[in-house]
Amino acid sequence: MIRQNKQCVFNTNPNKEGTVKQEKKIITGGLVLAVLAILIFSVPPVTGQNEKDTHPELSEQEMLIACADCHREMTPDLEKEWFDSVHGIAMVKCYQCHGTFETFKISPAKADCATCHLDMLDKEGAQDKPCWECHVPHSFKAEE
Amino acid sequence: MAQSRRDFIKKAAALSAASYVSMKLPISGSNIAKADEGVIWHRGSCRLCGVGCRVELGVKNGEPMGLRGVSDSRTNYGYVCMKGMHFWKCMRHPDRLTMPLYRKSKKESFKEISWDQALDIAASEFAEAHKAGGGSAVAYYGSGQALTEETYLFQKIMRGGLQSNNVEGNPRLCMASAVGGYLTSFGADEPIGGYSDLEKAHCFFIIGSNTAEAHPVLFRRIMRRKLDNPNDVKVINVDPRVSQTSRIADKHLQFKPGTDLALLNSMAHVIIEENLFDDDFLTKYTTFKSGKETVDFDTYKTQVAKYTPEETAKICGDAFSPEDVREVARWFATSKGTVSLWTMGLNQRKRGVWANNLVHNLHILTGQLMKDGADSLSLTGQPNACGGVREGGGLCHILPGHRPVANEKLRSQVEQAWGVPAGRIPPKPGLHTMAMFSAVNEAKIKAIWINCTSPVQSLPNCNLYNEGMDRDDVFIVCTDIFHTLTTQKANLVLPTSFHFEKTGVYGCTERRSQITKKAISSPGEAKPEVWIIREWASRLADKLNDPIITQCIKPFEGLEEGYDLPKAIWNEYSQKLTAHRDNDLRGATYEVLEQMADGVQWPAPTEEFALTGGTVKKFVKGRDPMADSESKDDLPYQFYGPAHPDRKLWIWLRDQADPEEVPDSEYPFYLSTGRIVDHWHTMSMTGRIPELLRANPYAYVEINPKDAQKLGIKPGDMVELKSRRGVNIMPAKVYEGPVEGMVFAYWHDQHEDRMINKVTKDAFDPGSKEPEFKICAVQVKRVSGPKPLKPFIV
Repeated sequence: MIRQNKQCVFNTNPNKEGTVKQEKKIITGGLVLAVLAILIFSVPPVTGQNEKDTHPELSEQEMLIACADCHREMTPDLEKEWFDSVHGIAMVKCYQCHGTFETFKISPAKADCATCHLDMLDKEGAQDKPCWECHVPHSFKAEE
Repeated sequence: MAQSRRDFIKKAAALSAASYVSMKLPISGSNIAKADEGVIWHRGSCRLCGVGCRVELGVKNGEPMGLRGVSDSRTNYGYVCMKGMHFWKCMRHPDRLTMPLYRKSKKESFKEISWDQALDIAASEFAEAHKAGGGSAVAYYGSGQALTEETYLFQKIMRGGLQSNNVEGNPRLCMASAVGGYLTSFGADEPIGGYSDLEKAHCFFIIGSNTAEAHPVLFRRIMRRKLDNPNDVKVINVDPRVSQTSRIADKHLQFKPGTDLALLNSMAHVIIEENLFDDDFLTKYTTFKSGKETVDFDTYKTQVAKYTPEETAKICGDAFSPEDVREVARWFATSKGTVSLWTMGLNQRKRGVWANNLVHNLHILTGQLMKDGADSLSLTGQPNACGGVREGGGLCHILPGHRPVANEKLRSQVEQAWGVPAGRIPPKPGLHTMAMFSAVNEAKIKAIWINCTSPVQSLPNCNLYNEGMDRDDVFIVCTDIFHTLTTQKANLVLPTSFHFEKTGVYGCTERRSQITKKAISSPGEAKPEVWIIREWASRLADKLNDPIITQCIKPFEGLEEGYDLPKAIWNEYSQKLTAHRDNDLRGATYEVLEQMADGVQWPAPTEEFALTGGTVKKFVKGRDPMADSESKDDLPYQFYGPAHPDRKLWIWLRDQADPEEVPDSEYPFYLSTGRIVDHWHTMSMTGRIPELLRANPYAYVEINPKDAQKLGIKPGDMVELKSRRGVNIMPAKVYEGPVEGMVFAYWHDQHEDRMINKVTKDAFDPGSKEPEFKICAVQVKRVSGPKPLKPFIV
């Protein structure tokens, strides 16, 4: 039987259970050749609309790794914030706001949020500022 | 977090099994959801899944630019999932089929031909097959993604024109057991309530459904209800596998696959034992049934008494305690409103109808029905399985308007509506899906039309059925927007218009019909199916020299295919075929549907009533006009459904029944299959959208860490899954998801090594004929360490 935390919300994030820590170690050990191959055949960096929106360079095969799988290791605090947020629970994934590598944006445009939150753009006081001025990125809690 | 780029790449690469892709994927910019200059937003419903989200497609200078939700929508409140927000990218995708393709032999390559040639070939082949073997030699296999107008017209030509009830579709594989459950328990197909109950529910009983991934926008509503009321709302999740849905659960019950019938009976036992049932509701509205016999409450009480929580916990594999059963039974019975939700975990079972009955039993027993916040709500997988196939006559045993084909009076009503001679529609139901593809294997079916679905990949034990589709003496026509594994076995591939490139109605889970109108042109020479059917039927009439076939399309001749033609078809269907039936849609005319942004829930017998939105709760006087017009007494609830002459709800005595195949020493693991959030069905659409493909590029098998340890399987290792029918090899995800002794794989992957339906079993429910995809026995073996993999889309 799996564990259940006191907030009655199941923990299905694999990085908290030890299983996937084991996974990382094993894969790191088992894929030396594959990693080398990836590094050798890496393609030039892919960029978004402007220079600051450049994602670290990745090969085509690396682009097949789900965003959260890397970011669980590379930006664990952000990944955790997202995972525990309503977006994380409802499975709104990184690429839905940030785009994929060729269309990558560090800060999504308001129009990206509007796909689901169109009405919020017209909310009083919201027209002249970015969404994240009130909604904390990745946790989406309104700032006090 | 400071790190070098080199570190990043090393770590990133190390996190995944090495993979390799050489596909060229078109990347388009992100949505422009807020109005840009010159963008016109066109209303419609989502193309994917059965939730029925209202969306708007942005079009600029005739080209699609983006898609957005609309916050006042009753189904989705403006939210869309990743599949919903990206499906518009299929519209101008370079892989779209744009010309008819033909080859005489399946060994040859396809050649482009004209529509005139294509329709002539399709008509000749069906005419020849019909001359050789009559109606039993031809077949139509359709889809819960076809528009209602399309399914209706296809089945009209098949039944009224070719005198064949060989009319089936992929909904047989996903909701036939739910149909069987509703008809046998409530006397009428489709749910009594709907989504509006979610915001009023105090207990959610989610069984056999990973709602978070299969119905993400509906899950958001449940999640919001739970998070806003953490102490007042209970969520029970019953599934052998812990899934994303479990994240909001107060209690998750895992169990040995196939033993949930015992659990449901045990909950009924606790409810009776603790006197938590609704005696008044039972007295007024309930009949107890055991086989063909009517029995009484005491007989039912004795039957479920066998399933004590202690005994049940043992049957279910000791993965939960007897007290867990008591607690969920109490939550279910005593909440102010309980909504049950399920999908394939119950439906795709050898005893799928029984499993459905046992959930309905709990609702009838406790009176958790008819009131706001309470419903027994079967979630539908596809956008128009309910509207098009269940209601429109898209299965071998039913005619439009929920009419069993074997019923002479009802058959005669259809013949009269169509103006065809009495006796034109054969009285015997046609072949159900598994029998249909068995007949293809034996070439008893000589010509089959496969529309908007890919049975090569989606049938269980598919190796067996693919043999028949390879035969050169079986002529196959496919209508689709992209190539699929099934078009690869076709003689003729006809390019069709996609959503928003044609007009028609989808009917989602909650009896809600919504129109999507043509907003953009189709690429190349792709055509709406309704045009294709009409033109094919016209030629068929000539070749068979049969004026009755001409009569079938007479009302539609000469009409423009983008709007006028589907409108005329909808008018015929809704006005003539649903009148006075329980899915009465006479009020839901195109004019009304265009006016009502969220469409209409049936019954909606008049335009005046349809303009209120229709029936939110069936069978309740004052809320459902048919409950008033069909009323026979003073009681507030009137169960006028066509299947129960006593006008009662039926509680069924159903015992635990094992699956067809259980693990043994040779095949020691259970295998179950399911969906993943980023993909849809056989990936012919979502696999072509880079954002979605990259999120889940290939299937993997989930293995419980305890099993993995015993088998020496490490994360990313390549694992062989072998059943008595077929073999897959895919990477392992070692994860505390599946219960010990069970592995789980998703079924979308087209690659021959990872197509899990080669492994699944084709046993089916004797009532619903729905196959038992969800349970079979397999061997699980490590074959190597991680290997480079390549996503595959045909």
